[in-house]
Amino acid sequence: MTAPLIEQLVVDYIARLERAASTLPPGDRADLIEEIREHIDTAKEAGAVSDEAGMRTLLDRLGEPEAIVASARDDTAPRPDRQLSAFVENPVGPASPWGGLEIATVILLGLGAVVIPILGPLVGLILLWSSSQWTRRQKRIGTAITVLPTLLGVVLSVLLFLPT
Amino acid sequence: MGGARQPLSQLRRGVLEYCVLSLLADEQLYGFDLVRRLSSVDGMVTGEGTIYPLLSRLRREGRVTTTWSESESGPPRRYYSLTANGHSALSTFTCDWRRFRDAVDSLLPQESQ
Repeated sequence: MTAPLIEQLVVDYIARLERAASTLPPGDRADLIEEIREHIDTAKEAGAVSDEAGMRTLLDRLGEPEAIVASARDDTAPRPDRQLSAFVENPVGPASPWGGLEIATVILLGLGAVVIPILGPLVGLILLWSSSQWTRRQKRIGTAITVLPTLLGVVLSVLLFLPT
Repeated sequence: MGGARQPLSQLRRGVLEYCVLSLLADEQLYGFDLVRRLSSVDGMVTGEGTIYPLLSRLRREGRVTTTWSESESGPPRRYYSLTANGHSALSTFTCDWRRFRDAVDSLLPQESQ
């Protein structure tokens, strides 16, 4: 009488999967659980599982539910169409959301000049160039917007106060 | 999982989806059959369950489609098959891969007989 035991293994496995998958978008979660269930059903129907040991092997081969969900999370992030570039480029994940440093950068670059003249924008620029959040072009634009008005101010005041 | 295995797992990640497309190029398969064929190739699959999220993504990208078929017992199962989009992605990759493989082979030490 191993049939109930085999069923219990499946129930436990699916329960673990459901717990792990609770962080996935609902549609993906339902699909994933359904597909894993079908995998197990098809295996049983194909005669690939005859006893408890067989079911354990089947579930082992599927892998840890947490690992399946982790790979689902990787695959959920939309990726640009790519071919062999996947091998060549560094394996970077999707762009990380803005962190505290990025927010501080923008505040320092914008309001920094008003609150702490010179030092504020300077620190902002250092943060800007050390962040991986922006492209080179965006960093150049950010720098120009910050530095040019100051330069313009200096030039104007020199011109105004220069003895003619 | 030592550091030395890392490049291999990156490579596998990149090619696995095209191996899936290739298996579906000529026939439609149940998830289970697809997974078993992949994992019968040494070193291709680490956890069989991770193929399913990959299949979902391929479906979202319009490269793979599913059709339902009645099963002898229980609810209907889904068959996976390749779309026209999937066929063209596969043939592009096949060309890219051959060029890439030849390029790498030409740089690596020759295989000793």
